[in-house]
Amino acid sequence: MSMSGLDSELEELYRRRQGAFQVMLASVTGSVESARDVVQEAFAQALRDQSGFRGDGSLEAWVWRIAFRIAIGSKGSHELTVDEVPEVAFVHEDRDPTLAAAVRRLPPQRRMAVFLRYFADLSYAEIGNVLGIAEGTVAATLSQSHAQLSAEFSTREVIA
Amino acid sequence: MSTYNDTLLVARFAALAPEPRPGDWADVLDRVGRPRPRRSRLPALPRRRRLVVVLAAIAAVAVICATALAVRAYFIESGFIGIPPAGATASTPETGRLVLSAYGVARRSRTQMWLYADGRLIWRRESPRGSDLKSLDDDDLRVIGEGCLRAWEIDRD
Repeated sequence: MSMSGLDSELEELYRRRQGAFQVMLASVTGSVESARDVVQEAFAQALRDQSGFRGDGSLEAWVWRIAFRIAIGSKGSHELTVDEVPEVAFVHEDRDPTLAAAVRRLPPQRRMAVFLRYFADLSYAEIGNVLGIAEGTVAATLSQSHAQLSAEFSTREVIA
Repeated sequence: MSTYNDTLLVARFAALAPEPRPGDWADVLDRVGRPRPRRSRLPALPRRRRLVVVLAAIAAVAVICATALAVRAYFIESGFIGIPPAGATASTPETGRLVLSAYGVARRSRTQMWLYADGRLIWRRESPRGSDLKSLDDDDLRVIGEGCLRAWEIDRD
């Protein structure tokens, strides 16, 4: 892909998805303002370092990985390793304390997968691309997360 | 998890999502040190809409020109209260001895007429759309004026 072609694809991706990037990254940085800054810096890095996109995954997944590395302050390569999966939490936990508490009890990778699914609106394949795991693993991770959340909700509802 | 629960999770996450701030691609370009794209003062329009705008502008110019020509033909050049026809000269003398004046209503229009001793005739007719005022002082009018005078005298008799 030519550089100018990638430029325009990045611009189109930014215009279409920067809101979703902000919402998801606010779960890492703690505020929308800082998340907006991270999103802009991630796209700027993508523009500067276009040779880093090898084309083996989607362009969006590549930018997500850059954004997460910036959000967690990692200086390494653009790839996220398993132990670098960022901690995510709701910015407005008070709006749904039950869900917030249930999600907080998920292991980090499951929690991340849930956030990528429901906040970033990514497909299983894209989540796999971002986390560097197979699509089947994503499906299994989300299934386990759903089961755990269902159990949490049922318990809470019974207690309530 | 069932589809119902999946849908429920989508809705509950949506309720927890913070409101994103507006983002500007130009800010990203600033960070890279690239020039911002130049923005046109006018918003870019699709080709078909641009054609409609051009045609509308041409139609507007045509209407304005036609209106100006009509105003000139029907009012300025043919005479109008307070505005003499183009090239008209003022009648002389400015005052004269009034021989005859008449006032009446004809065909739902109030009409006034003044005839001066030197033959000048001033004729004013008011209609629902306004009034016209014609002041004529050429030779033909003198004849008409005498005719008017005679007709008036005949009526009087």
